[in-house]
Amino acid sequence: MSAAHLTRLEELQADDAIWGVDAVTQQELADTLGSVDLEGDDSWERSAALLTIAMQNDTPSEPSPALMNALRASAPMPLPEAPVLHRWPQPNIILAAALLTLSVVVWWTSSPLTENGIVAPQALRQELMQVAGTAVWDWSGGDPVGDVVWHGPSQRGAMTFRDLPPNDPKRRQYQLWIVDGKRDAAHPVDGGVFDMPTGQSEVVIPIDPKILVHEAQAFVVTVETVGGVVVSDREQIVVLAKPQ
Amino acid sequence: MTSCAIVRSQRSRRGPRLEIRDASEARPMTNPTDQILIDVAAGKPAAVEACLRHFTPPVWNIARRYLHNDSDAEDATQEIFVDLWKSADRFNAELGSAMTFVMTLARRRLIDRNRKRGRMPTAHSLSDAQELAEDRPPDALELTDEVSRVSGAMQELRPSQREVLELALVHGRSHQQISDTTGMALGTVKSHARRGLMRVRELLGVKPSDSGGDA
Repeated sequence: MSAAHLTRLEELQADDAIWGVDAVTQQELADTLGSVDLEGDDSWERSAALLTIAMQNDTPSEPSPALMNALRASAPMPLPEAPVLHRWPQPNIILAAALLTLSVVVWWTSSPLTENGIVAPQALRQELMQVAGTAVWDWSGGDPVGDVVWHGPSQRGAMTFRDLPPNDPKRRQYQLWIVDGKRDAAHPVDGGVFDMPTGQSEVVIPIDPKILVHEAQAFVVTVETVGGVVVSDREQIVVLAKPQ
Repeated sequence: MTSCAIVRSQRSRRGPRLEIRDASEARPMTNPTDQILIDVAAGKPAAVEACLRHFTPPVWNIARRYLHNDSDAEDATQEIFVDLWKSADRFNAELGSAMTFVMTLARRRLIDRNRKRGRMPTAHSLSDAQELAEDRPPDALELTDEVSRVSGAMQELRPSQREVLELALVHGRSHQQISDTTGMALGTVKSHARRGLMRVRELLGVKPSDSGGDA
């Protein structure tokens, strides 16, 4: 590698670490690295990170409780511990098995957790309905019917639909949008995409926005291409829920 | 009544380049802060709260300063932590501190965010040059050996290099904005930033991780 080549490579890597570079320059960086059979050098980014830490020389401000709750909600949920089986004396095996079966049934029917550690939507809805500050808004406009349950402080909620037409998940998906009073109404928060399976008349779908919803003002469901869109043209609004 | 699992929209995400390897010797013991991230990767429930308590303030702080907008900073902080939950298992305490790992990830996300929104942050009303000239007390962040060594390396930089790097790294200023703020020519701004970072990298002996580029 010539000295000029090396200098240019270092400039590109430094720029990328400090400011980030546009797609064209990113390609130039990749080509330059490729031309000398090198992989990306992360030492530049790490140096920039170290400098950033060292230069943050003021007292950090405290994040809001709402943000902390949203961060907690985004964290991976712990898996429930597997039941521990104990050895029982031979005469008690049948009784133990019966008790174990009963306890598992009781645990299963009372616990809001599924085997994947995800709160079951119905249980989540029931749980939220017991919490002060939870809003319940009906879908408006006739079919489908149902409601939205939303608890702002914990950033959790659930949607219930009855008679929502099933979608072909290979072609179209439903997408939830949450209109936030603290944001531009033209850019509602993406609540994710979901499917309505065939043969089901009623479903409950959890709401788990990864972006903080400050002040939910409306929940809107649209039909979008598979995987959802970043910005909806809102041509196919299915339902809308907002305070009555 | 049946339930459906929600499917998240897939978004492109450029992963951070994360492992840290400095010239210093390997650490004989894992410090408590690093252990938090190791425990998060191991799925220990208590570690999540500890991780949030320890890392949210500095991440939130850099996001606010970088983006100059609380709403954007909150969104960015959430994105950074979603990334952190996914990538905590790539943290290697023997190669660098957890704080540097988190800040590397945070910076990449903030840079991406600025790029996606198609504009750099609006100018701060406070005179950056004046603000930077003020001599402020040491911060409330934990001063790890790693950060202490960086602070030492910073003293080796020329004041103009330090000024440009601080405006870029901490305040999220573009080269043009730094040029406007300081009165330096655009080329001088780039040159100071590049040479300053090169110097720090050289002084600290920061080497590429084995994995090299994008995670």
